[in-house]
This record gives sequence, structure tokens and C-alpha cells, in this order.
Amino acid sequence: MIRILLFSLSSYYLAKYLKDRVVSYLFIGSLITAFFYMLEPVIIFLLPFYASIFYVSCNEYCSKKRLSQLFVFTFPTAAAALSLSYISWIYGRGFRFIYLKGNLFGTAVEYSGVDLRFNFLTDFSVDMLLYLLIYIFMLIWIIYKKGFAEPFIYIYLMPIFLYEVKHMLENYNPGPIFFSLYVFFGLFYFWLFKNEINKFTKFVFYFLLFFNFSYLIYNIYPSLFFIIDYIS
Amino acid sequence: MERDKEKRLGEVLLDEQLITKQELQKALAIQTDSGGKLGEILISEEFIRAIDFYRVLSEKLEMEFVSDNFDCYKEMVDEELVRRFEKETLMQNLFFPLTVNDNNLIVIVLRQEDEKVDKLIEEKIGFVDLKKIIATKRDIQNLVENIFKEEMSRESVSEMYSRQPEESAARVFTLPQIVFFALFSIFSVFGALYYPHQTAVSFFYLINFLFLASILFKFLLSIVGSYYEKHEFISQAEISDIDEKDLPIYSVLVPVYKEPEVIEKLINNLKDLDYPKRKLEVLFLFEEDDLETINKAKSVQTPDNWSFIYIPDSQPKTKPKALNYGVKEARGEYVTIYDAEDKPESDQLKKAAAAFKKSDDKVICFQSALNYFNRNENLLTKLFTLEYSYWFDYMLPGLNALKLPIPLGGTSNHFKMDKLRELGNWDPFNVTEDADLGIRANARGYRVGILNSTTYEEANKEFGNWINQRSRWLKGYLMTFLVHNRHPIKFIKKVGFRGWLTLQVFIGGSVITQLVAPFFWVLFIGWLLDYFSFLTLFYDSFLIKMSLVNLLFGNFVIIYLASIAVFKRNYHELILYVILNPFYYFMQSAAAWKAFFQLFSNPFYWEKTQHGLTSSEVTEDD
Repeated sequence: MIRILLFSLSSYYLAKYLKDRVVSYLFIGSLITAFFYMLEPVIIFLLPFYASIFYVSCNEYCSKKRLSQLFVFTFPTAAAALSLSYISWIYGRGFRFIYLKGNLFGTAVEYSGVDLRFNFLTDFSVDMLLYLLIYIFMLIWIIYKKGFAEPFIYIYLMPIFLYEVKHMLENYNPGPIFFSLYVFFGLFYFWLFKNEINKFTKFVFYFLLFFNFSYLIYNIYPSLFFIIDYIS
Repeated sequence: MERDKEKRLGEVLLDEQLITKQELQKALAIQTDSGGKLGEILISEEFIRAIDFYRVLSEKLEMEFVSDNFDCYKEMVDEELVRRFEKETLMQNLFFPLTVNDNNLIVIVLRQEDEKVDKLIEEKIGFVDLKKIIATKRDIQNLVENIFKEEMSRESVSEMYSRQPEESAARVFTLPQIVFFALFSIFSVFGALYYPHQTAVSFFYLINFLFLASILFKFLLSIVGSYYEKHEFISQAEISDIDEKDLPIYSVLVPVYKEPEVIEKLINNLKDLDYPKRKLEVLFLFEEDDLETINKAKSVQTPDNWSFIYIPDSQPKTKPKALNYGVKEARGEYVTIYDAEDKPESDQLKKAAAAFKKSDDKVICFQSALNYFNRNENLLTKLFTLEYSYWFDYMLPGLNALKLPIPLGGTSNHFKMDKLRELGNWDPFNVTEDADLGIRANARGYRVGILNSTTYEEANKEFGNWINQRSRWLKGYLMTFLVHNRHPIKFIKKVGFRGWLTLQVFIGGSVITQLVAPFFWVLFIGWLLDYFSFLTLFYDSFLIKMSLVNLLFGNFVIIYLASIAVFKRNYHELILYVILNPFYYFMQSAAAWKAFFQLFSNPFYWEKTQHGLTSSEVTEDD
């Protein structure tokens, strides 16, 4: 859960930087991303996505910034990768330029003819909409209001990329806990744009959030709902 | 003559062809906008020389004019009479009691009607008949200086030490400090001889803790400071709203020593300041033996309300001593300091005046940001610019936000004059008198604010010159560290634990870590090459982890913080140079060792920084 929160938080700050252009947000977002990398090394495979966002997201007024914001974003994670590799070497586990926790490549499944993604989709097809309710709601709102030109929309898609990467490398099939990431993303982005959201949309958001959150909790901690079952 | 008496002063000056009609009209327009006397405006705008103006004024008022016959009047001076007044009173109110003649007290004044001067004379001498005669401001200052020169010179060196010996760096080490360091050394030697393992481990732990604290502290400051990146304490709208009539006299102290190359540029830079010129009092502080700079300055035209002050030759020959001497002649409500190579943003003084007005009484000083106009000159200037940008744009705002003591930068610090005097001015024995003053202000319960204005300076582009300058700064930091650590308990009571910690980590810790860093690098490289495998005996599991954090996270922080520095000023072309910052740290270590040795061998020696080596100018991009 801490990892999920960290990932949401880093994305929130990075999106906030792209929205407000205050360097401290980039600074904090990048540092949290590096920290997240230490807990969840697969994030390194998302770096190219991030890198392209930070490199491309410049208008004519800040075109000189491209390299700087790219550097500030990637440097902490790169430094963390190098540091962990060095530590790995110090402790006699060999120097691996990209340190991946738990010998990740060794455990990655080879394609066995079963489409795991399909499995995932069928497993969750019934619940999917309910799990992602608030995430999809905010996604639609952002696309409707901001279009596809704003870079922070692509940060918003990072949980999907993260799932894809984890799924491909680790044969990861997410449980309900993973979907709280989507709720956090929806929540953080709502927070980011709350001044621009009208009252009715806010009302709908809160309503859906409550529903989404309850559904998630019900699936993560069903025992919490024991009392309801008991009464019913 | 009779006709002149009836005419207005402006008309007389026109008739005498000392000013043109356009100049008169411009002066009158300025008078309407920002108030003030016509004569002061004409002189400060360089429409007329002071001597010509006061000659005409004296003729119009039928008063004697001193400046035409200065030596003659100088011989009439009754020193005993003059000494009944304090020199500061005479300097600040610009009058000079010359002598008593036929029961008339002859007083040299700048203008005939000045109730404050009359009152001051009445207080000291009683009711007497006054005969006022006129002189230029510079001649009045000369007469006062002539009488009090020795005293002023002595005070500029010893005033602070005699008032607050515990706050002065005149004694670098106090007896308890000598005892402490002696005992520490004895224990260290004893430990090294009899308990080498434990001593080495303790040493490694101590230094690693210091490194870690220093890294984390700077990291924290930068995060906090970066939040204030877009914060403007004084906005452009607030500057536009200023009524120039309300602005007080602003004194600008400009200590210059051996700067003939830049003095002309400096004068032009100061002329560009956007502040009512009659309220802008610029005092150039020359060492009296520095004839080359003095002659060069004299060859450049300056307004006659600016002053050239010649500091008598005495030891220590330091900038703070010159400032102490010069500030006695300053009349402003606020005072600031600019160095010889400075190019302040034109509205800086207005911003500072607005900032003082906006702040509470506890804020007695504002530090402007410093940066470099020749940043792209070579690798050294690039790295130096990164360091300065990070320091002034992120670290100091971080200290400010956390209400911690701020070590002032060498120039562009703006003071409330009365509070500066209350603090005892600058310590002439401390070679970073600015940093010391910032800490001292905090210890007296005052605060230093950060002003959103920049002064552009010339970055050192030569390695040797850079080392000299840096070694002086670091020597000064060590002095400041020692001075304020004389009574640690008292100091904690004054500034709180966080303030004390700032002094240890930020001032002392940064120099100490720079001193020991090369030693650790040698150990590290030696160990990598398998020469120092014995080190594993001293490094337990926790120490290894801490050292790894210092090595990896420390170097990361050194690079990363510099990379953020490029954003505020859009110095994006410097971004890749941040990778070289660990090497820049090595250079600081070299300077730290020079500073350390000089602290013992020549503590008060002022390593002169050579300016005027660049051909770059401040550009629109800055």
C-alpha cells in the first residue's frame, strides 16, 4: 500500500509541476519517484515514458527547459539505480547497472500460450468498471476539459503502464489493492483541479468516490462489512 | 545684486548661465514628483556643480561662502568648541561650529534655515547669537573629518572590541577554546597511541555524522527554499505605488581598494539606480594610499552629493574597517553596501525601502540575491554561478522560511541604520564580517529578510583568484563559528536550538566537512584499489551504511541541488555542468585548507579578490 501511495504521490507532484511550473514540485516528484524505484524497481521501465513527457512538454517560452527538466526528473532515479548497483557490488552480489530487486528477470515467465492479459480482463471484467469508477470519471473530465495536448494527462495514464510492465515482467495479476492506485490517482487529480471543477461535477465525483471506495474496501477487507452482512 | 535678491533662485542660476532652461524645468518637475529643495535636485542631477550653486546661494542670501576660501577658514577652527558636539551629529546634520567671534558663534551650514541645527546648537551651547556661513556638503564633511579623523580611525578598528569583546574576532581563540582544543588534541593523541582502534572508529563516526547532518540540512533547506521560488516579497505593483516623497535618504557604502579597472563602470552602475537622486547618498570608501583608484575615480564625473572618503592607513586593512569608518558619515535612514564590481537591479533600493515598510520591526536587514553576469565565460564561472544561484535562490530563502540565522552575503545587504549602529556595525577583524553580522543580528533577537532583487557581480574566472577569495570566505566562516561558540549555552538561549544547530552545521560543519573530504576520498579510492583493506577493521555494519549514504546520497545531493538552481534564472545552458559539482567541491576543500592554515598564521589578512578580469557585461537576459 505504501508503494501505491508513493507512486500516486510522485505522479501528483509531477503533474502539479507540469500544471504550475514550480520547480519544487518537480524536485519532490522526482525524488519520490526515485524512492519508489528502490521499492519497486520495475518503474525504471516507465522512465522512457516519463522522459518523453518531460522532454516534449515545452512551449516556445520554455524550450530551453527541455533538457533541464528531463535531467532533474531522471537524475534521482538514475542515481538511485547506480547507488543500489554499487551497494549490490559492495555486498558481493555483483555490480548490476540496473539493479532489480529479487532477480526479476529470473522469475519472469516465458510466454506459455496463455494470454495472461486476457485472463486478467476476464477475471475482472465484471468488477472492472466499479474498481476504476473514479479514475475513469476523472479521465473523461480531463480529456473533456483539457484535451490531449496537456502533458499531465499522460502522467495520469501511468498506472495503466505500470500494470502493463508488471504484468509482462512479473506475470503480475493485480488484486484489489492494486486498484486503490487508480482511486488515489482519481483523488489526487481531483485535488489538483478542484478549483476548475464545478459544483455539480464535484457532487458527482464525491458520490462516485464514495461508491468506488466502499466497493474497494469491501473487496480488500470484506470482514469490515461483516456487520452489514450480519444485519442483513 | 539687489535685483538678484528679489529674483527666485532658479532665475538667478539661469541668468548666470549655470543651468539651462530645460534643466531648470526638469528639476522643477522632479521637485513636484518627489519633493525636496531645488538646489539639492540640481546638484544630484548633475545640472550644476555644488560649489557654483552654493556660491550663488550665498551671494543671494548675502552670506559668507567658505568653499572659495577653505584653507583660510580651516585655520579658524576652534577644536575645543567642535568637540562639544558628537561627530555623528555634525556629519548627519551637516553643520560645523567654527569659532566664537565677537560673541557670535560662527557656524558653517549647508542652508540658512535649519531648525534642527539651531536646536542642537542651543542644546550644547545655550542661547547665543549665530552667524551662519555657507559651505558645500563635502567641505563640511572635510572639516569634521579633519578634527575627528584619528578618533574615527581608531573607533573603526576598536569600537566593537571595546564595546563587545566577546563578539569580536580580534581574539581568534579565547582561553577556554584553547583549553578545549588542547584537551581534545591530547585525548586524540593519547587515544591514537593506546586505543587506536576505538579512536579511529570514534573519529570515523564523528565525521560521518557531521557529513550526514550537513547533507540532510542542506537538502531540507533546498526543499523549503524551492517552495518560495515564485514568491515575490515586493511586487512590481508595490514598487509602482511608491510615492517618492515618502522615501527616506538611502546611504550606499562602496568600499573599493585597488579597483581602477572597474571604478568607472561601478559609478555608471550606481547612476542607473532608480531612486530619487537627491535622497541617494553614495559614499565611496577609498584607502588613502590607493592613489591609482582614487585618481581614476576623480576622473569620472559624479554628482556632488556623492562623497569620496579616504580611510587612513591602519591595521587591519579590511573591508569592515572601511565600512565602520564610512558609516559614521552616512546620513541615510537605510544603508546598503555594494562592491566594486556590482551591478544592482535598478529598483533594488526602492524594493528594500518598501520591504522595510512592509515588515515588522524585528526585521532589520534585507539580503538581496547575488548572481553573476559573466557566467558563461569559462568552466569555473559556470560552476560558481551554479553555486551562487543555488545559495541565494534556494538556500537562503529556505533559512528565511524556517526563521533561522542567515549569514549575509558580502554585498547588497540593506540595513536600518539605527539598528546597524545598535549592533555595533561590522567586526573589522572578521574577514566575513557580513556572515558574522547576520548571526549577531539573530542573536540579538532581530531577523534578516530576503529581498527579491538581484545584484550582478563578476564571477572569478581564474583559479588562483578564486582560491584566494574562497579561502577568505572560509576563514571568515571559521572565525564566525569560533566567535559565536564562545558561550554555547548563552548562544542557544538567544537563538534557540535550531539557530545553534544552523551555526554548527551550516557555518562550521560545511568548512569542517570540506577540510576532511579529501582525506576520506583518499581512503575510499585506496580501499577500492585494495590498498587499504585494513579499513574493514574499523567499519562496523552501521558505519558502513552511514558512509554509503554519505558517499552516494551526499554526492547525489551536491549534483542535484545545483541542477535545480538553473530553473529560477533560466540558466538552462548550465544544466549538464552540474555533474562536475563534486570536482568543484574538491576545489572548495583546497581553499578550506588554505583558510585553515591562515587562521593560525595570518587570521586578519584580507585576501584581495581581483576584479575587472572579464570583458562580459550584464545583458538583457540577466
